[in-house]
Amino acid sequence: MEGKEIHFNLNGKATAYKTPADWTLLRLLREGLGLTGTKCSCAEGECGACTVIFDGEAVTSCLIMAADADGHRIETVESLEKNGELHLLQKAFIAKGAIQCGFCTPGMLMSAKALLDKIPHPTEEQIREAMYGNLCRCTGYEKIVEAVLLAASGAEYDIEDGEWNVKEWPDEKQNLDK
Amino acid sequence: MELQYFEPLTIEEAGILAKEHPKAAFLAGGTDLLVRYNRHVNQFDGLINLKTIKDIPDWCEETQDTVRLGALMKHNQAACDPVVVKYYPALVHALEQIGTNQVRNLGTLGGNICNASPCADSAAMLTALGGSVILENGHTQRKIALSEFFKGPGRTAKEPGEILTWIEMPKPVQGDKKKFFQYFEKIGRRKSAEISVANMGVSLWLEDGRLKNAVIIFGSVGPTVIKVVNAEQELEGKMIDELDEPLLEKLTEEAIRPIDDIRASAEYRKQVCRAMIFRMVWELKRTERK
Repeated sequence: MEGKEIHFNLNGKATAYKTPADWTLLRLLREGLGLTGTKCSCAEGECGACTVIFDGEAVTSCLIMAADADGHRIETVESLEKNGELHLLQKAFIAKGAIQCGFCTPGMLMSAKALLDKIPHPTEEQIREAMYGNLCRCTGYEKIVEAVLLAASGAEYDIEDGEWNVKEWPDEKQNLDK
Repeated sequence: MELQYFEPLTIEEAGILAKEHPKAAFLAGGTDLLVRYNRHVNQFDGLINLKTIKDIPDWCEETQDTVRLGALMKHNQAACDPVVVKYYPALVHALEQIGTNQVRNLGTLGGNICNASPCADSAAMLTALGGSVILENGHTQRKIALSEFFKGPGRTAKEPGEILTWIEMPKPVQGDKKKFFQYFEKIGRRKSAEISVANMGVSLWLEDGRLKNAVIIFGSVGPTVIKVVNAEQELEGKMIDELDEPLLEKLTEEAIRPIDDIRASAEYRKQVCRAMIFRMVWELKRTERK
């Protein structure tokens, strides 16, 4: 089999691509479709940098053959920003300083989104459980977990000197700012 | 090397492809196969995708006496399945400790079994629950107990052209005087994304306070899962208070065949296996006193 014409829903858009048979989904996204937000790091499903959402579930795109995307719904980090407006999770990551080198961030965001899509108000334990598969070598885990809690809290944001800050805390979530 | 890729539509077609391309590998979840592929240490020259075959189930079926898990069920999917949650909480516990969330959303039960890794967490518990596998080649099907299925690291009783379709387990139907006890424990160096240093699955019946039909399985401490037959016999017909933990520990240590590897030494594995069987008995006593 030379290659395969696949049809799938990518970030809400019907997409067709003739993929070489030996490509992984990660390679298709990065090299075929130019969506380089999804990162390649370990290529063995350990680090989670290549996490995308596949039919609503967080998966490591390095462990999926591109041909297997046929007929499925895939969301990458590029889908988070809508009409120039960052996603609540992205704002929360910035407000909390949850990004250091940034290489793990796209995977972290997609694992967090898959969680929040299912459980809008997760506990800290549920967040840690859902994000075990995402490694951060700057070890900014505390701030990352705080950012997901913040995104789930419904806090409002303000922008000042190019930086996001929390404008208004929901009453019951005041303690998150500590 | 050029990788050939096939998408058969029937089990028979997959079997024919496998015979025509003896160096091709069956692809299910891909969480092990693609690691080897990405590292360029793959010993296969083709992939035969099983997910395009409608006859390989990815759902769970309950009959009068059995529960059947489809080979293409994902670990997370099986761990959330209401039938699995109802009858096999220890299996849920085992499945939840496999890899990471992302890997559990990809990896399949059938793949984990056919991969025949001695340390597979699902293998120990499914074997302990009395599981069998259904193998089909498009014409005939046969059933083989998991305790007979594993032949060595990466080797199984599966013939060329055969495909695992179901994992079948007896359904534990409990009564006032007949209780089912199941237990899973995994030892690793950290809590998540860890390959077992050792794991253990146990199931047994308590009838009028007496232990019956115990199955004690250890994983990651031998070339396949290890059934500790002597310890099983030691439990048969005993009351819980009559159990001799030091003897059970000794029988366990005699049965397992651990090796030194990158994850742990054989000596450490022996010690944790003794500790695990001790904790299992402790848990059994605790459950019974409730």
